[in-house]
Amino acid sequence: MPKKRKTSRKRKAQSKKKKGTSLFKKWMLQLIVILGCVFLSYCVLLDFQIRKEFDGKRWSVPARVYAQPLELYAGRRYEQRLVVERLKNAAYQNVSTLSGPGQFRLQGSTIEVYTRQFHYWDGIESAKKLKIRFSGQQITDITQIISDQNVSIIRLTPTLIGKVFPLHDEDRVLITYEEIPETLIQALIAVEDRSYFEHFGLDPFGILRSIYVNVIRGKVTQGGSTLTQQLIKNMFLTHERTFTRKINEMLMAVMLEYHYTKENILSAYVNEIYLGQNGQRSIHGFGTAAEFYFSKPLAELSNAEIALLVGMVKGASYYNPRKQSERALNRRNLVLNLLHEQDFINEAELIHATSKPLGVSDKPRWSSAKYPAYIDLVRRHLKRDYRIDDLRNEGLQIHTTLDVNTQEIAQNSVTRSLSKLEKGKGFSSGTLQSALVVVEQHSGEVLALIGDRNKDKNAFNRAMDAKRPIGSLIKPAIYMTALNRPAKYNVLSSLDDSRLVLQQKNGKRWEPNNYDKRTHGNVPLVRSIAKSYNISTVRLGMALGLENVIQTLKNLGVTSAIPRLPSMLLGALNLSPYEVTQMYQTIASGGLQIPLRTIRSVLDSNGQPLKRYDLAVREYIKPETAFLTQYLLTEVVQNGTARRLTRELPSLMPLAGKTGTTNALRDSWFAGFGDRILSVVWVGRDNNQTAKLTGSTGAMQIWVDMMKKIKPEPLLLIEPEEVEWRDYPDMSNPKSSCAQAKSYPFIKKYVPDYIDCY
Amino acid sequence: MRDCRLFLVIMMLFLTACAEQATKSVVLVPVEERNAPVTVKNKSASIHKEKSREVNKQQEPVIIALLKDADKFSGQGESAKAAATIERALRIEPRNALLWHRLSVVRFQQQQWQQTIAMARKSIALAGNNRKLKSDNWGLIAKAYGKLGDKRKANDARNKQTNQG
Repeated sequence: MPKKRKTSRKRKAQSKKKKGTSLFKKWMLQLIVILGCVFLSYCVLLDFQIRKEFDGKRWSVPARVYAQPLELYAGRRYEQRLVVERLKNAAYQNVSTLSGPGQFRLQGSTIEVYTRQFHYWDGIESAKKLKIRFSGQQITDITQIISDQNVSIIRLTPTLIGKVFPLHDEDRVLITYEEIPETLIQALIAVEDRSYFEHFGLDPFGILRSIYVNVIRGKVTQGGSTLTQQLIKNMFLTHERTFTRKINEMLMAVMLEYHYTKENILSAYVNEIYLGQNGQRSIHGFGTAAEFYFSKPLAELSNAEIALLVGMVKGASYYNPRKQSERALNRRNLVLNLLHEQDFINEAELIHATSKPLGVSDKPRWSSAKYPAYIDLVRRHLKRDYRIDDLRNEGLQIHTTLDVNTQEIAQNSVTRSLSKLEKGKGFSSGTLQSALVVVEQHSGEVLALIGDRNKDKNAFNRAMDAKRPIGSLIKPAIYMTALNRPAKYNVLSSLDDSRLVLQQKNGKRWEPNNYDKRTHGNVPLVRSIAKSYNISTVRLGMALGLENVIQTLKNLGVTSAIPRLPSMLLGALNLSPYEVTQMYQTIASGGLQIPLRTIRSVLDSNGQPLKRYDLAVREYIKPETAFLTQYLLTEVVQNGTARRLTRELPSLMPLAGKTGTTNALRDSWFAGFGDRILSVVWVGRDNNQTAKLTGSTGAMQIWVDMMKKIKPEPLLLIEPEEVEWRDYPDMSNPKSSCAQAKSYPFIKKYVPDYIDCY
Repeated sequence: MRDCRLFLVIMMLFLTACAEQATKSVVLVPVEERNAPVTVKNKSASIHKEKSREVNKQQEPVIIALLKDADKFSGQGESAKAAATIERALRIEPRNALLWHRLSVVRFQQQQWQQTIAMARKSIALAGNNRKLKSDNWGLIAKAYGKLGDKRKANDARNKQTNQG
C-alpha cells in the first residue's frame, strides 16, 4: 500500500511535472505564436513602408520637362537668327543636304528644316521637310519642300530643360540606369559589394566576416553591408550603429530585393547615396556629386574621377577631396587598384589614372537643370494641379510654358543691371539680389522666372519664397476699389493730400508722409496714383474702408494674410514677387484672374494626357473697373513715377506700370505690362538692409533692360462698352495747363458734367 | 392658356426694358466743386483711341487654320483637344474676341459653366462694336447661369442678349 501510495504520489508528481511542462510548452507555443504574429505584422509594416518610399522615388525613368515649343507661321515677327539659335538648342544639325529629321540648312533668307516627329498633348506632329522664308524680321511663308504646299503653322521640337522626379522636392541631378557609366558600376562592385549581382540582399560571408571582426574588437565597427543594405541605410535609417538597426536593415534589404530588380536597386543607389555637404544641403547621388565636385556631367567623368567619388562612399567628409586632398588621393588610388585587381582596367589605364591629380573644381557648382527656379515652380504646380498617384507613373512628359528666349534675356538683364546698380551705389559685388517673374497675362502662362542673380543657384527661390513689403505696388488695389464705385469716384475725382494724423488702436499716432516730404492739397485721382502720393492714398483707403480694400486684394488673387491696419494701405503687406505677379495679372488681363501656370500638359509614357484639376478661372473684377485701373497705370508711365520709360522705350508706348519702394529704400519693386507681357521685378538684399534704391532707380532698370530685348507689344486700351472717352482739361500733370484738353475714360452712366481743373 | 403665358413674357420684357430706361434717365453725376464750365481749346489726340480701332481687322490665316482644327476635334467629341487648339490660337492673338467666344463654347460643351461665363465675358469685353458676337456671348452666359440654377442672372444675360440685336 505504502508502495502503491508512493508510486501514486510519484505518478502525481510526475503528472504534475508533466502538467507543468505541457503548460510551459503551451505557454511557450503561445508566446512563440504571439511573437511570430508581432514579428510578421512588423515585417508587413516594414514591407509596406519600403515599397511606399521606394515607389515614391521611382528612380528608373524620370519625367522629361520641356520648354514651350516655338510656333512658326506666316506673318510672325521672329528673327531668322533666333530661329537658328532655337534649332541648335533643340540639337538640330546644320547640314548641306537634308537627309533626315533633326537637320536644317541655311540659304540666305531661307531656312530649310527637316523637323522631328514629336508627341504633343493634342496629337502627333509628324516629321516634315519644310522651307521657311524670312523677310526682314518676319516670316513670309512656310511651305512643304516636296509638295510646295503652304503650311499654316508648325511647332519646332521643344528644348528639354530638365529631368525630374515629380514627387521629389530635392534638387538632384538624376541618372537613369542606362546613363550609369560602366566604370561606376564596376568600381562599386569591386569596392563595396563583390557579389552584388548574385546575392539576395545580404551577403552571408560578408556578415560572418564582420561578426568575427566585431567580436574580436568587442564593438560594432565593421559593416559587411551589401549595396542594398547601404541604400536602405541611406533611405530609411539613422546612422547609429546598433544591433536592432542592423537587424532592421537586413530585413528590409531582403524585402527590397524581393520586390525590385537589381537594376532598379542599383539606380536608386547611384541616385541616393550620400556624397558630401554643400552648406545646409546634402549632396545625394553620383549625378549631383559629379556636378558638385567636378562641374561636369557624370557621363564626362574619367576613370580617376569616378574612382574618387566611389572612394568617398565610405565617408564623404573624411575623404572630402576639397579639404583632405591627400587622404582622398590615397583612397582614390586604392579604388583604382581594386578595379585593376579585378580586371576592370588594365595596367596602362591604372598607371595613367593614378598619376592624375584629383581634378576637383575650385568652386562647388550646383545645377540639376538649366533653370532651377523655374523647375522648382513646375514641381509646385504639378502638386497643385495633378493627382499624386498619376505623378508616380514612370517616364512622364511635362510640357511647360517656359520661353527659353525670354528666360535667357531676363537672366542676363538681372546679372548686367545688378552689377551696374552695385557700382553706382558703391556696394561690393554680390550685395544685391533680385527676383522676377514674366508672364503672358491673358493665359497666366509663366514665361520666365528668376529666383537668384546667379542662374545656377536656387537654394532660395526668391521669386516664390522671399516675402517682402510691397510698398506702393499695393496702390492700384485701392484705386480699383474706388473706381468700382463709379457713382462716387472717377479718374478725375478730387482727393485730399493734406497732412493726416491717425490715432491707432494701440494708442500710437501714425502720420503718413509723401516721398517728397510735402503735401499737395487737392489732387485729381489720376495724378495721385501717377505720382504715388501717400497721404491722399491713405485718406482714400480709409474712406473706402480697409475691409473693402482687402476684399479687392483677394479678388485680385492675393492669398497671403493681409493685416487690417492703415499702414497696409502703403504696402505694409509682405508678398512674394510671384504673388504680386498674380495680382497684376488680374489687372493686366482686364479683370480675369487666371492662376499663374507653368504646365500646359503632362503626358504619360503612352502619350496620353493626364487628367488635371480644372483651372479655377473666375471673373472677379468688372471689365470696366479693370480697364480704368489699367488706364491709371498708363498714366504712371506717361506722367508719373515711371516716366523714365517713355524716354527709354519710346517706340513701345503706351505701357502700364507701377513703382514700389519701401522704408529706408530696402525693397525696390516694379510691375509693368504691355499688351501681352507682364513682368514684376524685385531688387533688395537678403539681410534686409537698405538697397539705396527706389522702385524706379532699381527694379525698373532691370525691367527696362529686359524689355528693350523682349520688345513687348504696346498696351491697346480697348474700352469695354460701359466706358467712353471724354475730353476734359488735362490734369494729369501739375505743370499742364488747364486750357489743354485730354481724353479721359469714364463709365458711361457716370460721366461728370463739370470738372474743376487744378 | 398658352397665349396668356406669352402675354406675361412679353409684359415682363416690356417692364424690364422700362426699368432699364428708368435707371438710365436718373444718371448719377458726381458733384465736383467748381465755378464755371471749362472751355477746351485744343482737341486732344489720344494714342489709346487710335489703337483701339485695330480690333476689327481681318482674321489671320493661321487663326483660321487653327480654328478649323479645333472644329475637327469638336466634331470628333475631343473637346479637350479642341480647347487646347483654341488656346494655341489665343497665344498668337490673345485679344481676339472670337477666339475667347469659341473657347467659351467648348467650355460649355465640357459642362464647365463658370468657365463658360468667364470666357464669354472676356470675349464681350474685347468685342468692341461687334454686336452679333456680344449677343452670342450673352446667350451662352444665360445658358450657363441656367445650368447653374441662377435664374436671375440667366434672365439678366438673356436681356442683354436681346438688347444687342
